[in-house]
Amino acid sequence: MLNIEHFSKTYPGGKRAVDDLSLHVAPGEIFGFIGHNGAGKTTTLRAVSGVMDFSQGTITIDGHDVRTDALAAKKVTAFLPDNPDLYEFLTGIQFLNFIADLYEISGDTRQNLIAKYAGAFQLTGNLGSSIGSYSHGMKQKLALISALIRQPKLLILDEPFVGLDPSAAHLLKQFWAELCAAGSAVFFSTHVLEVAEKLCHRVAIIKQGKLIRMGVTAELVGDSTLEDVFLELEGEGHG
Amino acid sequence: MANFFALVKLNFLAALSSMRMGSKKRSVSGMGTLVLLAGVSLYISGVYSSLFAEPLAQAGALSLLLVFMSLGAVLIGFLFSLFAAQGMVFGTRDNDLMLSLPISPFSLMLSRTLALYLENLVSTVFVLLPAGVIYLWYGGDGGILVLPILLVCTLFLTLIPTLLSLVVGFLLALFSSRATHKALMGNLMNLVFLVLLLLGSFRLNSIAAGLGAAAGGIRAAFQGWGLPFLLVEGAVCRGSLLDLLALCVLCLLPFLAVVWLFARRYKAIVTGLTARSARSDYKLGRLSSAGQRRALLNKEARRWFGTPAYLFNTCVGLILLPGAGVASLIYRSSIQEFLILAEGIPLAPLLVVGACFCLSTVAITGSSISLEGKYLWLLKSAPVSPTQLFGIKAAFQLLVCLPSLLIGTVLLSIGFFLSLPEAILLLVNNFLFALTCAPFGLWLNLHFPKLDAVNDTVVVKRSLSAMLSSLLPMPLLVVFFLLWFFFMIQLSSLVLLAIYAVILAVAAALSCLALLRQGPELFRRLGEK
Repeated sequence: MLNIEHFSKTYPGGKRAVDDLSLHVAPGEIFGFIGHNGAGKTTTLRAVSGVMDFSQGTITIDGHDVRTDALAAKKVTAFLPDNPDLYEFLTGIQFLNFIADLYEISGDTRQNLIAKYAGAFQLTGNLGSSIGSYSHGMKQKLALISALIRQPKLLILDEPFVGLDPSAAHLLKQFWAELCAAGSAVFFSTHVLEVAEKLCHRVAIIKQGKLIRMGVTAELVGDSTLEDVFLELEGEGHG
Repeated sequence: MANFFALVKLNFLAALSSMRMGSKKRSVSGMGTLVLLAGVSLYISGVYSSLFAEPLAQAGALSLLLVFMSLGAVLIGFLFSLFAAQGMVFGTRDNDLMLSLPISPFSLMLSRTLALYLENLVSTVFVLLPAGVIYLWYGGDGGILVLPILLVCTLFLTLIPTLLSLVVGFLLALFSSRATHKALMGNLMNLVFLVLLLLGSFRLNSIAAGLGAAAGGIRAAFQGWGLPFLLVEGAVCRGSLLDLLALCVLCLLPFLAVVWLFARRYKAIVTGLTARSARSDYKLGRLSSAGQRRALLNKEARRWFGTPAYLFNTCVGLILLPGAGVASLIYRSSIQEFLILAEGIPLAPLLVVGACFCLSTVAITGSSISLEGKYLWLLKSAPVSPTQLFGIKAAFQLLVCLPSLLIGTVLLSIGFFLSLPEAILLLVNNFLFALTCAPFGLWLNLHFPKLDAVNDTVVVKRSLSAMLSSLLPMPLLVVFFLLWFFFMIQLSSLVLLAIYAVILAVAAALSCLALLRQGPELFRRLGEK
């Protein structure tokens, strides 16, 4: 579903945020992307989602190159940044309709999907209010609903569990499972290693822009925990 | 006290940062915009000071030049900072952080107001300084001390436009903070102030027209409301320390008193502004799809109507153009008499200049990209091409302009007795000018984006792109005026209008071409660290 080949990104000023990263995410897979602050996770996710331009390497989503065939790639993708700012001058339902229009979702389909996801996240009653009145968690839920109604083939999320209450986090995991069962894939970054260990079929650990370990979660962890593996790998190179 | 100066510095840096020219050109700081403001002030002052100086010197009343220009400096400062105070003083995004710090609301409000003051100071200095030089050039009294004393007066005089803007900002913020529908209330309040401003300017015009040449009459007209300007005259021209002291007291005390008074309500207003009405009884009804174009167009419309600062900084021309048309109908008989007197001189080309001037103030696209700011990720990750996005943003500006353009043009054509071909060419010219400005504003905004502003007001009022998108089309109008001025005898009205249309068609094509060629790449680079 997602193929990243030799992707590198250097910011103006010379800072190399990601260095020769290659990985792929298969259909039906939940893939966790782990690393310390500033390791290059967000840069990678932004490049994959088409939000950020890059010049080295290739990234394809469902066979569409994100640079040369950007619109087709974006059409099958849903991306949520770590702190999704949504148009505060719109109401919740206006925002969901806006997103549904951009992704050309028919009236009946969007109605059913909004009813399903907004109902599950207990946000239906608030959809008539302006987004400016929402709490951080409500905005997070609305952003998630806007991503889920697209029924994306690839769901890309940056720190999706930050700001979510436990029941919403639980729901989100259920919806991921549904998506993956339908052949979609989830590619997300997280600092919550317990979640990654329980949820991800595979994980990749990135450090200072370089991929230092990738594999099936169970194999990578072995008898240890993902936290131990991560801390051990993070410790390497620090003496 | 150190805390207070740190706050003033922070707020001034924030104001300068709002004018900064985009990430690519960081080396050219917000000072660039201040230089632009200084340049505009310098130009206006130079033109008007020279215009007034000679007749006043002949009438033996040269010192009145400083009275007039002081009034001009205050008006320019007020117009520049009007509608900015609400955003800069009350609506900044760091309110939560600032209110949690051990700083009194008075210090916080004063520091933010002083940032506004420092910006006003630039325009005031660059209006009064040339006036002082021209005053001396024509042999004004006061000698070598004129300019230093004038500068000291400027420090106090600047408090007046700052205070006036602060009062407007406070009232706007107060009513908005109490309203359930803040945007609607903000729009209504802005409309009231805009109407008052227009009425005030008409009143000033009538005062200026009625002053005549008698110096005594002019001074009498300034008594009371214009006392600060007479005190400037006394301090500078006669070297009166008493007048200088009186000016200081007259400007400083009300300023501090008002800031202190408003500071008592500061936290309540700020809290009210951030609180939004919310309901939890929404029931999902039948939904229908609209398509990408309509969705994007609706979003542009909702942002424009939902952001009072955006709406009222870009709609003045939309009101003025049909307003001028209505005025031309009211004074149709006077216009007819004038046309008989000015037989042979084509006036339709001048109508193009006037109408296009109104349209140049409708610079919606000049801040359209900057206002995406923190929401940019939504558009960048959406399956919408940059060119489609630009098309929608430009189309929105055109759609907003069209009703005003059509009504204004038709009314002006009737009011000025234009022939049908002249009226059609006037309409074509106005439309081509609007067609030039919409993509040009976007192109400018892509070059000079301001994505991290502390609020929408600074984007709309203070960003370089917003200013340039209003100012840069002006040279085109100067060219049109000069063409009319030099060729009004040789060329007919229709020929001049046709020449304008050709120039505007080329400008519109160039503007669209520049946007389509450079825009997508500039858009891709937006938001990169």
